[in-house]
This record gives sequence, C-alpha cells and structure tokens, in this order.
Amino acid sequence: MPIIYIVAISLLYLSVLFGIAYYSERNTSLRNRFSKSSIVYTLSLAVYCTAWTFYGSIGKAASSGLGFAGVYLGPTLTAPLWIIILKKIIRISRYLRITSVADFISSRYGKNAKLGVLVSLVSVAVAIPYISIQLKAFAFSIDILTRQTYSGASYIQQTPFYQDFANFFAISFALFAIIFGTLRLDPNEKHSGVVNAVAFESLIKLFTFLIGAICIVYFIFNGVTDIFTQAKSVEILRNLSSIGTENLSYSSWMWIFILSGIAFVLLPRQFHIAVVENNSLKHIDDAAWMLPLYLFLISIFVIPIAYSGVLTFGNSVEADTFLLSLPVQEGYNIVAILIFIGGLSAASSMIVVSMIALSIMVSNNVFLPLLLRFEDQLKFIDSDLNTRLLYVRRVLIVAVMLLAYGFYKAVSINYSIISVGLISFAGIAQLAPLVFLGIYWKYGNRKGAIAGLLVGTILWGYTLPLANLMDVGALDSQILKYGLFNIEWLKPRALFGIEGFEPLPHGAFWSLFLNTTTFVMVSFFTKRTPVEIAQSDIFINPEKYYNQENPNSPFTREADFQELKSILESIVGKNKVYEILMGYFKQNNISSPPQNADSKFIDYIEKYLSGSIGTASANIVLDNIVTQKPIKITELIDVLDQTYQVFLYSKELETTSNQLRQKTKELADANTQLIELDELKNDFINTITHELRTPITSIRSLASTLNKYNVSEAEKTKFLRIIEQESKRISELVNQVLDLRKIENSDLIHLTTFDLKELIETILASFTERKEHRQLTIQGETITLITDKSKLTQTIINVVANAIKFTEPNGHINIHWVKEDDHIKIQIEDDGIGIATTDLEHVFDKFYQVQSQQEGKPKGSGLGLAISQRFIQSIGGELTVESKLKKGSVFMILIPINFEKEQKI
Amino acid sequence: MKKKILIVDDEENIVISLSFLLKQEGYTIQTAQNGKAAIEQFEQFQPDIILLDVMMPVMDGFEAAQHIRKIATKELHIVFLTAKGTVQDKLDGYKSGAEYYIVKPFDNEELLTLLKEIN
Repeated sequence: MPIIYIVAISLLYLSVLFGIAYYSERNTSLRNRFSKSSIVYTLSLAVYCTAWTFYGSIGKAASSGLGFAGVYLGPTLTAPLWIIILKKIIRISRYLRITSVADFISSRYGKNAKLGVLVSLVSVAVAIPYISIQLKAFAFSIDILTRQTYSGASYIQQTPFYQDFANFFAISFALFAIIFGTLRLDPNEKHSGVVNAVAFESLIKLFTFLIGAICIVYFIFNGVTDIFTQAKSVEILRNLSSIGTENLSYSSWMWIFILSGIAFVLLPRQFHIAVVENNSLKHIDDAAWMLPLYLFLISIFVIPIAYSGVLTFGNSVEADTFLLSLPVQEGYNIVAILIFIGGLSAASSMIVVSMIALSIMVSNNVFLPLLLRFEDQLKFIDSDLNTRLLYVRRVLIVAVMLLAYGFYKAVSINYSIISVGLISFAGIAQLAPLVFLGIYWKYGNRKGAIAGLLVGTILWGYTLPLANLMDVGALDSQILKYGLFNIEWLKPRALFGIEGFEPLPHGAFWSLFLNTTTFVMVSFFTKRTPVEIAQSDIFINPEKYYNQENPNSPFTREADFQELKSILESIVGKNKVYEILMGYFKQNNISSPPQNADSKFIDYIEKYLSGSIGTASANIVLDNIVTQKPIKITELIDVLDQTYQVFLYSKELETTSNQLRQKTKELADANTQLIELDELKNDFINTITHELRTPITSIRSLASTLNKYNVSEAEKTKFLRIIEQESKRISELVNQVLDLRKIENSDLIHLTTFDLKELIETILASFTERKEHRQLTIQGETITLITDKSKLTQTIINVVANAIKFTEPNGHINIHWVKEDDHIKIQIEDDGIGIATTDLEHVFDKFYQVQSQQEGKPKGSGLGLAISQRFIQSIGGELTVESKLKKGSVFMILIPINFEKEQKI
Repeated sequence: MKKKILIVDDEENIVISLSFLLKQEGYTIQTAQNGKAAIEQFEQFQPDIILLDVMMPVMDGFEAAQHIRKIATKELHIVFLTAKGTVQDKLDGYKSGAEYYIVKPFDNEELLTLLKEIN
C-alpha cells in the first residue's frame, strides 16, 4: 500500500480528532451533556488501553498465554475499591484544587516542594519509555502496511529523521496537546475537548480491535474451536494454556496484577483523567462496572489471535504485530487500515493525555518552585506570568516528546512493547505507599516520604531498567554477573543474595518493600511540622472539610489585602480575580474589601493559587507576603481534634434531624389516612341514610294516602305491594351491613356439592321481574362444584344485580363459564354504561360508589362488591373486573372447583 | 284552572305514590325519570311547579334546575324533594334555583300545605 494513502488516512483521522476536541469544547450544550455522562468518563478512563493493549497484549499472549490478562485483571478486580479510595482522592483533590499526582503528594506532606520535584521526575522517567513504545507501535504498523512485513530495528534505525513517520506522528500529537492542553491557565485544569476526543478514541479502539479479531478468528480461521484444535498440535502453544509454567510463573502473574491495579490510578495520565477531569463522584460508581466490561471486551480475543499468529508465522514475525500482519498477509486491506486507525487512536490518546498531565506537573512542581527559589520572587510575579506559564508548558510538551522520540530510537526498538510497559508500571508503583498510606495513616510525614520514595526509585531503576540495559550490553554486563563494585549481594537481579526471582517480581518486590519500610520507619522516628499535621488532617478526613466551603484554618495568618489581590491577578487574570473575590464576599457577607486579609481569606486564595501553579509554588509565593503567628504542635492538635468533634457532632445532628423528618412524615401520612377514613365513614353514613330514606318515603307517603283517601281495591293492592317491597329493601340493606361485620369477624365456610349450571339458572329465575326487558343469557356446561354455595350465590346475585342496575332496560347480560385446570372461571358480561378507569381500581373498596351522577345513580349501599370480593377470596378465588366506559363491564369469578382439595394442599 | 305539577324522580314507587296523592288533590300531573327527561317535558307541559329529586341517572336535579330556570318564560316554582339532607345539599339546592327544599321522607300534609301556599 502506498505510503501516501497512509499519510492521508492518518491526517484525516487527526483532523476528525481535532474537530471533536474543538467542537465539543466550544459548544456549551454539548460540553455540558458530555460532562454529565458517566459513559464519557468511563471511556476516557479507557485511555489506560494504549498501543500496549492494542498490539502488545497479543505479543505477550504469544509468549506466555494468559500472562497478558494480568494488566486487565488488576484494574478489574480493584474496581470496587475505587468507590472508596478513588472517591476519597477526588474529594481531597477537589477541595485543595490539586491538579496532578505530584501536587497531591507534595500537598499531603506539608506542601513540600522537594517532594513535588521528586515525584515529577519519577513520573517523567516512567512516562518517557512508555510514550516511546507508542511511537514504536506506530512505526511498525506503518512498516507492515507499506512493505508487507516488519523489518525490525535495524531498518528503523537506518531511516533518516525526515523519512521516519513516527517522527511525523510525534509532532502531530505534541501539537494537539499544545493546542488543547494549554488553551488557558484554569485553576481546575479541566480540558473537556481533550476528554471527549479521548473518549471517542476509546470507542474507535474497541470497535477496530473487535473487527480485526473477528476477521482473523472467523474469516482467516474457522472460529475459535478451529484455532484451538490446530494449536493442540503445536508444542509451544500447548505450554501456554496454563499458569505456573516456565512461561508464566505465579509470582509474575501476581505482580503484574498488583502493579496494574496501582498504575490504573497513579500513572500521570490516569490520575489526570480519573481525578482532575472528574466531574461527578457518581461517575465512579458507573465506571466501576463499565470499565471492567470494556477491558473484558477488548481482551476476549487476545489468545485466539495470538495462537493464530503463531500458527501462521511461527517465529518469523514479531508477535506484537500479529493483529496487523495477519490481515495484511491474507489480503484484507480494509481491515488492516481499520486496525491501523485503532492502533493510532490507542497510541495518540495515551500520548496526548500523558503530555498534558506531565506538562502541568512539571511546570507547577519543578519549574516554578525552582524559579521562585532563584529569582527575586515578587519581581517575577507580574502580569505576564500567566502567559509565560503556558509557554513553559508548551516547551515542556515538546521536550517530553523529543525525549520519548530519542528513547524510542535508542532503546525501545529492541524490546517488546509489554516489557517496557511493565517496567513503567513498577516505576509508578513507587508512589503508591505515599498516596495510599497518606490518606489513611496520619503519622506518615515529609521526611519518611522523601526517604521512601528515593530508596524505592533507586532500587527500581537499578533492578529493572538499568539491569535490562546491562542485559543488552548498553551498560557493563559484568555488573549483572558479579554485582556493583563486585559486591555479591548487589547483583541487580539477585539483591541480597536471593536468587531465583524473575526480573519483574524481583525488582517490584524489593523496591516496593524497602520503599514502604523506609517510609514507615522514618516517619515513626521523626516529627511532623505544624503544616504537615494540618495537611494530613485534610487528607485523612476530607469529608470534614469538603462539605464546608470555608472551614476555619488552624493557623493564624495575616496579609495585606491589596498585595494578595495583585499576586492573584498576575496568576489567574484580572477578570477571574473579580469573580473569585465576589464569590468570597457574597458567601461571607462582606460589603467592602478589607484592609487586612485574615486566615480564612488567605486559605481561600491559596486554593485558587494552588490550582493554577501547584501547591508547593503557591506556598512559596504566599510565604513572602503572609505573616504567620507561630503555633505549638499541641495547640494545633487540639484545634484539629476540636474541629473533628464539631464535624462529628454536626453529622450526628444531621442524622437526628433526618430521623425527625422521617417521623413527621409518618405522622402526616397517618393523619392523611385518618382524614381519608373519616371521609369514608361520613360518605358511608350519608349513603346509608339516603338509602334508608328512599324506601321509607314511599312507605310513609302511601300509608298516609291509604289512611286519608278512598282508594280502589286494585290500587290498594298495588300500594300495599309497594310498601312490602320497600320494607324488604330496608331489611336487605340492614342485613348487608350486618354481613359486612360478620365477614370482618369470621370466615366460616360451609362446603356443599352442587351443579353450577343449576345454581345460575335458579339465580336468574329470581331476576325475572327486576330485569324488565334486559336479555339474560347463559352459556356453559354442567359442572359439579364443591365450595361454599351461599357465598357463591350471594356474589353472583350481587354482580348480576349490579349489571342490571347499570344497563339500559333493553341491554344484554351474559353469564358464561369455562373450566381452567382445577379452577372454574365464571364471567358476567354486560353492555351497560361501564366503569371509568379512575373508578375501576376502587370498585371493590368498601362503601365505594361510582359518584358520577351524570352516568348513574348508585342504588346500593356501596357494600355489595366489597362483600362479594371477600366471599370469593374466602373460598380461595379471585373476583376481578374489566370495563370500558360506555361499552360495558365484565366481572370475572375464578374459584377452585373443589375447595376441599384445595385446602388440603 | 288546575295547577300543573311535573314530578321528577327515578324511584318508580315514589312517583306512583306522589302522582296518586296530587291527582287526588286536583293537580294536573306529568312525570319524568331524570333531569334530562324533565327538561324535554318542560317545554311542552309548561308546569307551574316542579317537584325535583337530586340523585338521578343521566342528569341530576341541581343541573336540571339550573337549566330549567334559564329556559322558563313564566312564573315557575321549583321544590326539591330529596333524601340528601345535609346543610350543604340544601345550600346547593337553593343556589341552583329552587325555592323550597324538602327532605325525604316527607309528610303528605306538609307537602300539600306547601303546594297550597305556593298557590
């Protein structure tokens, strides 16, 4: 494939990336939407997956089988811990406006500048090889696409500078980082454009990797089974399918796992994305399961691809390149280009975020403190500082890129991607004791931290990267054999005379073990300064400070307000200062700028300064204009304890007031329920009264009439029958009310055996008069039931009476029944006025009457259906209703055919 | 001339008993089963007095009274005759345009006296 195509594709992809970053940074609504999304956050965290993942995992799998999976399992299995630890780190960082891992550590140990420098140097030392392997991945991918094969180190080393495309790639991404990473000096250091572009790249990575995997596994080979069947006949592959072989020891597996779990949070780019760019603590909860899912998806095909590569190429092709070499060899050019783009996105996202993170770290924690130390500080702080800092960062980005490029040319070419990556992981893990112990162990101090970090880093450098250089002969390989200065126990791969470790577990173990031990021991035997005590208090109990906007400082500090303001102005810009001051004045009800700034105000300003120029630099700057009253350590500890007590107390108060609120709500609910019951009772009484008055009216009036007038015999009979009817109606009502009470008290059941059809016919006969012109039809077979006959009868009568009440005089009522297993379903269907949906759920409520006077006047007590439902429930059944307004209703009775049998079950 | 009375009630038995009583006393009677039917009959019958129940299907007494008040052209007396006996019910009745409100069960003589007074 001509090189010009590849250049064109790369440029196109880069411009898409620039477009996304630019557009999503400018478009406010888009920016807000993305910043609220935990998916975007999770995808941006997947910047963890670099070219290492994309190409290198396959290389690792080809030599050690499941060994590759450690780097995925580390973050996956530690993900639940993020919810506690990462959230705590984010809370602290947000409160103190911390912008890098170096800032975090320097702030924790007394705002110390030396620690900031040390951590920054470790981070750069670790990042440069790591960036260089991304360049390597890019170089070999171009090589394979243009020349069908990867020609190896010698070829690349001979390529002149201007023809090397890794170089072109490096320049493009330095440019990207410069444009989007140093747009402005923002105290929060958020770069939403970059984050969105990185999230997009994570999608591309996953998508193209899966396409490549499917192409190799299902098109070049015949599926996973095919690959594994063929692999059985190849000896090297047989040895790869388990852990604990010579290819993959348990200890190196375990160490890869531990180191990757740590690196996921502490690598500069990971810390930047996970902590500095985090917009909501809630996103952590989602990321804790979504990220493992992402890692799972991107790792699932690694082994089959690695086996495919070995089966196809044997040892003739470098295993890191299998993902690309296989499709190229088989002529799948489109797939190859997609994979190339995926690799490009994996490498570029890592490089861009790393460079932004490193430039912030180095400018704030190395460059500024050194400058402030040597220059006349107050002279240096002028209105140009802001722009000058951005230039410093740009220069740093270029410098880091050049170093990485140099390292790539000189060293990385000779190593597999993953071996370089793991050394970086072990390096960054040296920060772990300082960070993780720092947020839980309050006695860890500055001296301990510096000593531990120095010991750890030196041991790491000696046992891992330097030992590797000795291995390839770049350094004196005699040291490997005989130890430094010929001292036996200083052999870089067998420290203290302990042999038999593999290089990675050996280096990681000794460096981390002695790092932690030194840190703890030195901290034990040295004292903390007041600033260290105060800072450690914030890191260990961040919640004590986090929820209060301006907690009281334990220190008594004072400064000239105007001086403080002009310093802030030169660093964050005049407009921003106005905003910051207004915010503070408003919050504290201050009307005019004070002459002297107090401790609280200085604390507030310090946080903004720290956000822009780092904790240590801000501390140095403020030292010049702030006077601090000395404080005794015992006093300080008292103050901190007191504030902690206040914090606990207010937390307790909060719980109590929550409980009170809960109780109040319960009371209010109970009250509402009482009112409802009361209304129900009034309604019931009104209804009963109404229902009693109506028949009495006829009886009374007719009785008087009979008494007073001359009435014909025919009419006399008619009147007397009415009086009789209405008297019956009254007694029926009374009986119903009594029934209700009876049911509420007991549920006695009398079982009888009878035929349903006969029963229904008898019931319908009793309606002959009442039904007027309504058509009553039945449909169903003879069936013998064993159940409470009178309860069933009463229910059917109630429902049919209702149906008559609510249908037109020429309406239709149909009763049909059908057997359903050991149950019988009786349906009573009418074409009457129906029941509105709002009433439907209440028709079985006691006393409930459909109160729509437009539609029909309730002629019952509102008890019939309530009683019927209880009857049916008491014989193990259900009474339900379906209805449509103006179309009619269907009441459904579902009861066991044999209730006796049912009860025994 | 005989006074014309329109009896509006959905309870058949009450209609029977009222019709008989009032016919005996020499009134001309027509009956309706609900508010809507009452409005329809009102046009052609032009009663002097309406005896009106409240709770009825299709259209209740309050609504019917309001409607009839609007279309009435000559002198008309509306008497509610209902089992709804709360104060609120009575107020609603007067508001809808009735002059009298009698709670069921009523006394025959009381009703007759009232009707004579209206005369």
